[in-house]
Amino acid sequence: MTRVFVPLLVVLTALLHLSAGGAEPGDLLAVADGRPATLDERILWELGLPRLVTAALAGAALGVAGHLLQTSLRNQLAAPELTAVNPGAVLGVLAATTFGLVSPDSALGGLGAALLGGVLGGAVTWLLSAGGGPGRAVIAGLLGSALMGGLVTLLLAYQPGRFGNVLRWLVGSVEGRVWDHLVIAVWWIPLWLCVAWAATAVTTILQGGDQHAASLGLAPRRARLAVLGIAVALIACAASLAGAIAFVGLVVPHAARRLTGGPGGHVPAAALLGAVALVGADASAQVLTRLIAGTELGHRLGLPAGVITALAGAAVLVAIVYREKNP
Amino acid sequence: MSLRTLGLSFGHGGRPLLAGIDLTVEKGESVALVGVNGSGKSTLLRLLSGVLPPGSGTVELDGRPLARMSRRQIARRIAVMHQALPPVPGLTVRQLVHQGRYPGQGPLGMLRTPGHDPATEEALALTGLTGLAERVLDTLSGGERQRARLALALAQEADILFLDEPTAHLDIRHRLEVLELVRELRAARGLTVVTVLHELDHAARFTDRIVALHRGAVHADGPPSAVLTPDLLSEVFGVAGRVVIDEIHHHPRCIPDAPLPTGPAENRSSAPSRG
Repeated sequence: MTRVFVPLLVVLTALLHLSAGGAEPGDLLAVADGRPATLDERILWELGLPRLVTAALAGAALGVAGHLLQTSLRNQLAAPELTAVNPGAVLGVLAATTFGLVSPDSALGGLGAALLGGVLGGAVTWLLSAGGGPGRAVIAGLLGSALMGGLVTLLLAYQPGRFGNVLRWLVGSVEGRVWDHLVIAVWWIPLWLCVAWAATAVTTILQGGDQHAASLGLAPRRARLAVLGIAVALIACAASLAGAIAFVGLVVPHAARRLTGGPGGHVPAAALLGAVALVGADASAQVLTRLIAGTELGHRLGLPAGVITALAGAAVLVAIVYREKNP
Repeated sequence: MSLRTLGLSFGHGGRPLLAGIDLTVEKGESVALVGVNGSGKSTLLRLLSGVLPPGSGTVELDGRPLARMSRRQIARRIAVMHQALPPVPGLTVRQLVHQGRYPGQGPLGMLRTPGHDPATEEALALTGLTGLAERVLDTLSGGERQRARLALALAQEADILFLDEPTAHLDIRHRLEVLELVRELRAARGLTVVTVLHELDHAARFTDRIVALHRGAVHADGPPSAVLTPDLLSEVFGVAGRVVIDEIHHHPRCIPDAPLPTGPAENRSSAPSRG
């Protein structure tokens, strides 16, 4: 059932997202035909579709990265934003653009800066948690994330003029992304999703603990570092596209593992559900923006999708905690 | 020759746990490791399986040091049945046992065979778990968990099997079942088996050779009839007792009478000093 249900959900959410952006079925057909002619059709091709693809790629990357972190660190609360990797990537991009090292619109520069920052954040967490168990990793992750957040604030104070533009990105937004931003992400994220899927056996064995992994032929530390490397590659790209999207990487993996039977289905399910979550959040953000602004959109910027994922994610977490307390 | 240690030592926090262990386990042998709690039995098993790097000395598998083999190469030869199941939420018996295929198949090979891998199904069948294959590990009884641990080790299809207290927490019947099963498998597959056991009678009945560890050193090593003596009971285990011969199975049986007020014997000169 899951095999039919989840892909169907992906298609429905994508259509919902496009229509929330104001696209009509006719525009879609014209774009599919390869001849966007009218203004509406060109808006769909040049803004609506890249925005949809951005949300889908970033959502899939975060969902799978969260799954990799939760299984390899053996902690249900490990997530891109709680292990300092996502905050580190955000810091990397922000630092690189603030100091003029890379152009804000360069896909390659953004990804490179995000990778460096993500590795920095992950390394801080790794060092702080060294020698401790899975519980300590979460504390270390929170500390590392706070450190990264503090450095971001420092950068903002350094250049207060940029505050307005950066704020949306700090909350997480896929608005205003065009095809030029996606030239790397369209192959980078699918590539690492495939690697993550191919490493399924490694992550599931790591979940059983170091002794279990070692006697099954895995060097635990090396294998864990490799899996974390895949997660960082995914998170950095997602952060360079959409900023600090929260909760997708925390909540989606749990749902994916619950919905699928064997470990082989976890990565595909986390990718699809992650895409659904972020595309759905962005569609809701667009609809809400219209409701707030009335019918006239004008030049106002919309609600960032990160606000929706944060609110929805918090609600899901409260529901999970409530259900565990009152079964 | 199969597995050999040379001057194997290991310590933790400056305290020596094992010192100068020279042990050779021949192909096809069944060896029991006995000793009191903390005598280094489980540590020795972990050193022998390469999970723990030795402080000094070497472990050789067919003349090749374990330190020069990859973890996967070792796991294709040596399977370990640990004392506990990995605590993975939602993992089913079949999924756990299938993990035993990792050393042989690698990550990509395992993606091709979820749920229909012949070696996995055979290990499930041998341990009588086929009917429970879809059950989640948390829902298993103690005996079923034990069999799942054994099935995981069997799925590795290694020729050397290490069992760390395979009968712990089991009732009499399940203990016999597990040990009988291991004995049958050993005969059928020509396995080399090293078992950490607490029950000396089981060691005497189900293995050819007993290695008694005492304070980090080998105290006695030989066939059960030679190793199990009243002296061993007092020196290693700190109890006064008798050893009789079981009339039906023809193996020695230990009858502990009373704990000695002085406890186990002090170290011999070769054993490490404490403190």
